[in-house]
Amino acid sequence: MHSSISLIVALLSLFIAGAQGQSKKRAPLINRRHESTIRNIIQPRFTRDDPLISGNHTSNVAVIVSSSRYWFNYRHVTNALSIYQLLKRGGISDENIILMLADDIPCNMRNPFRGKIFSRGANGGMGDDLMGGVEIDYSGTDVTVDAFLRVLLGRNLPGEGETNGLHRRSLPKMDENTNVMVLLTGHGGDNFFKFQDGEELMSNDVASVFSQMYAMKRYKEILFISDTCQAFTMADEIKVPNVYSVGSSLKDQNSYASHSDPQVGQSVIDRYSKVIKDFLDDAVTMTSTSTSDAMPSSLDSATVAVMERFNLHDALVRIPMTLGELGANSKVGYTDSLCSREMNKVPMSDFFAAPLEERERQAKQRQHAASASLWMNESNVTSSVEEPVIEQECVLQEARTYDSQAKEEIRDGMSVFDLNFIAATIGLGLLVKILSRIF
Amino acid sequence: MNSSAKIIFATSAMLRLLTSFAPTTDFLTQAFGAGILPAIRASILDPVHTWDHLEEACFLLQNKVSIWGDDEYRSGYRAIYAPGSRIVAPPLVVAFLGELFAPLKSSDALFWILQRLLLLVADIIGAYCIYQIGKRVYVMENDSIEAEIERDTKNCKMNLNLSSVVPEKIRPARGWIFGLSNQVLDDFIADEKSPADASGNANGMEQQKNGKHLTKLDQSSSRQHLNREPILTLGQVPLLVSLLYFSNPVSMIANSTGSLRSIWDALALTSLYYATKPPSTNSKEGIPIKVESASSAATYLALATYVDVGYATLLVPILLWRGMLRGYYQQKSSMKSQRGQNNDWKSVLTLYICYLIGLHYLASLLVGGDSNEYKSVMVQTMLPNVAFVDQDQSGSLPGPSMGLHWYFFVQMFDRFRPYFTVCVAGVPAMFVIPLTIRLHRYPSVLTATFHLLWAMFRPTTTIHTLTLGLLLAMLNPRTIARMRNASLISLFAIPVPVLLFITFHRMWLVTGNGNPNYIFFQCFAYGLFVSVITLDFVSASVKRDKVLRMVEKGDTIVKKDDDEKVEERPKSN
Repeated sequence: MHSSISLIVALLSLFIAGAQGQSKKRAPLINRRHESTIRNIIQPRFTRDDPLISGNHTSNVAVIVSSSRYWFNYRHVTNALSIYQLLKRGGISDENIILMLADDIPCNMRNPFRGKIFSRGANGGMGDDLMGGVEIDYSGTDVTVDAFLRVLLGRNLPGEGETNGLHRRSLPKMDENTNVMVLLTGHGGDNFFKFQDGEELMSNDVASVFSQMYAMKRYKEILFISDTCQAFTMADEIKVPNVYSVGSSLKDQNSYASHSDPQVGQSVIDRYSKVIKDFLDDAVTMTSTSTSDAMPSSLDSATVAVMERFNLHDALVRIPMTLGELGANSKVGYTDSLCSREMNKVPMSDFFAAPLEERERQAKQRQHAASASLWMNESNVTSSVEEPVIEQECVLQEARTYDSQAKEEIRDGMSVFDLNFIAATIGLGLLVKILSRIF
Repeated sequence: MNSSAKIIFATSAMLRLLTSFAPTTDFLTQAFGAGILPAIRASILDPVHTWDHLEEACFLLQNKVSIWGDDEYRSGYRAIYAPGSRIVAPPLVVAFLGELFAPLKSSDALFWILQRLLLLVADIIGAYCIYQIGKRVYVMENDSIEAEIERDTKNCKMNLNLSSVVPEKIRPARGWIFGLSNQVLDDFIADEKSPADASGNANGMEQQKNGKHLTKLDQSSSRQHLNREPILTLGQVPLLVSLLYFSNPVSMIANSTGSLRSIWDALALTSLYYATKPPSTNSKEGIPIKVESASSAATYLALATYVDVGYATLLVPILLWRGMLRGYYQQKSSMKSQRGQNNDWKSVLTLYICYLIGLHYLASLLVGGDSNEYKSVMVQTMLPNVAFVDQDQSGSLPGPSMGLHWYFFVQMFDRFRPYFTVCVAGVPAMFVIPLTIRLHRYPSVLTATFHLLWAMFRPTTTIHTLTLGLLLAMLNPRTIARMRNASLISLFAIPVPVLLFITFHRMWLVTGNGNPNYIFFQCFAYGLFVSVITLDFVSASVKRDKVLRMVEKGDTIVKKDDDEKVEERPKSN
């Protein structure tokens, strides 16, 4: 009797210890309501008849804009950095991301945690800091409508994009196999998005730049996300194909802040961006075997795996609407009417993660870096990893001379000194003279 | 030309020469500070009709332009009109005023002198044309029934058919300025005793016996002697207007700050000059010589329209001068007047269209490419002259001017822009037909009215364009005499918003003390004054025509203020 009881107690102890160990391994979910949804998506009861298929793109780029100034717009920077960190975790490198932050909120004098941005709370400065590994390409007054448009169109000012490294301020060469993600977060209204305090980006401007990109074959698909008030109106004028547009609110609706942090003293993030990030983080938490609470800020295979299972519609539209508590008067708008695939067929990884080849290359680089560090400890230095060759945009340089003989000219028309034109002019003059005599 | 006119002419010529070749721009900057010159230019110049704009076009002409940053470059005239270049100067203007003078640009001084000379010659031609137009209008109106009625009214001969006398109540109040019959003030009438009344009751009884109408005629004839001396005769008006055109400060400043508007105005005035030319002149021996002027009128109007589509409104008065709707206009002295007028409006219209097509064909040769290429060039060069449109999607719009469009459109969301562009650009066009129907007898009035309307509603309003409109209005003294005090006040008030515009422009853009709202209010006031003048001008013309029709028909019943109808028309014996 005693032996059976002790055996049962021992088994229970083992079971409890094992359960506790497992729970210790997995971080708690940010929102427990996500759990069932995540399970349904990641581990569906029935197999999908039309599984998500990645597009045939070969590169990913992203342009993230937070256009608001001043301390009280803290949350807009958090919105932008939240998506930025997701992209980094998806393996998209800084060379392929243009980050525009109109104000230096992390280093603002009012920021009690200088140099840090928290999306979920400061927690005494120990919260999840989104500033880790951030490369800001445009900051302060450099964030303008003109800069935004030039980045998308590849029209660089002299000196930009010439050298690799930090702050290239330009995207690599984009072509018809490039997927582009554009995020605008800040203040907006009916068909406009406010840049700083003096400019507006109109929906016509957005439509125009996408039209030009389409004509120039600078994208395969575009994901255009707007997290502002009346956000979806920014997509009103888009008429080119393969642009997925998502807005955090419809016309005459607002997008609301999520919560404020008493230590920061401001609203720290907006509801829409929060739900996207939280849901993805929870999905990674549920599926990842990592024991770390902190989310990585570079390529994370667990994150990529989750992104490959989520479709855009779920991640950006359905889940925010159902689980995001966006507000009674705040609904997410989306359109995929001119796209070759419906949004619910597009995996999130098509825009939030780098292509497979790029991820594998990064993984190899990491292995090389790891082996280099090991060798360095033993005072043996291995060869450096080759820098990836990134095609650069054509840059108009002042020193470049336009040699008419070297480049193929397309000269139509005439000059005023051309004989044909002179003859035509004289002919018209004579005609006028003759008619003047008659009439 | 009397001695005073000669002195005035000589003085204005010297002043003009001085300002044409003086470095006015440096003087203005030194006198009033940095930033004053752009402010003055904003009020006077249309930026797309300046030498600077031409130079920008020539720069693009000489350098290749790449739109997409790839290997495709545009050169030649295709480079000028590449998307985003915002060049509005048409190809032929760039060719003949830009590229043709390119070899001379090596010497800045020589090129500068040439520019000034060109503008000076244009103003001389314009002044001469205005003088001749004024003279011919004067002669045409002098031969018309209107002048005949005026003469009868002024002389007030009792033994003539009195149906051709304009009743006093409907005479122009300021007709005395030009020596016309005018309305005498009621107060003045009340204080005066007519000779008939002074002779006693017997005559008063006689007046009652004969009817009070005769008495009123006696009174009016006595009042004729109390009319003031005219300031100007009708024949002097053309010379005065010509002098004002040549030596007004607005034109001087505009030309010295780089405007090309004088050249285009000269073209338009030359077309009016040929349009008003009589069909024949007399040689020294008195033999009538036929003069062909239809083609010339059409040529110059086509040139002016090619440069700036707004000048197309002058086509209507030109056709009227050339005989359109003449059948509806009956004149008592018709034989004499009709002999002196052309009747070839169809030829003018046809030739105008043909020449315009020819000019565009020449321009398309310069630009090259297919028809779509030139269509986009046409839109780029023609549309900004009549409608407030942005040239590309960069958000850049024409800067502030004296008009209201820039402020209105800058504040507007993009989705409203097409609607308001059509509304605002279409307003002046809406008035053309109704005004033509109503005032077809007065082509010179229509010329001035259309020009004033266009000066108000064009996308970039400047006081330079207003100046020509006002001067053309002055060629109609019979209308001027019927204008009210409000126009006079508005005319003298116009410099106030103009000066404030310049001041606030500098405050906004240079010193940073102002904002565009200050300028907006000045533009609002300016537009108000110009519209008052325009409306009063049209109203006075309508009154003038109404009086003429009333007298022609013999229906001159005028209502008194107390609603008692008093028959002013005297009974014939």
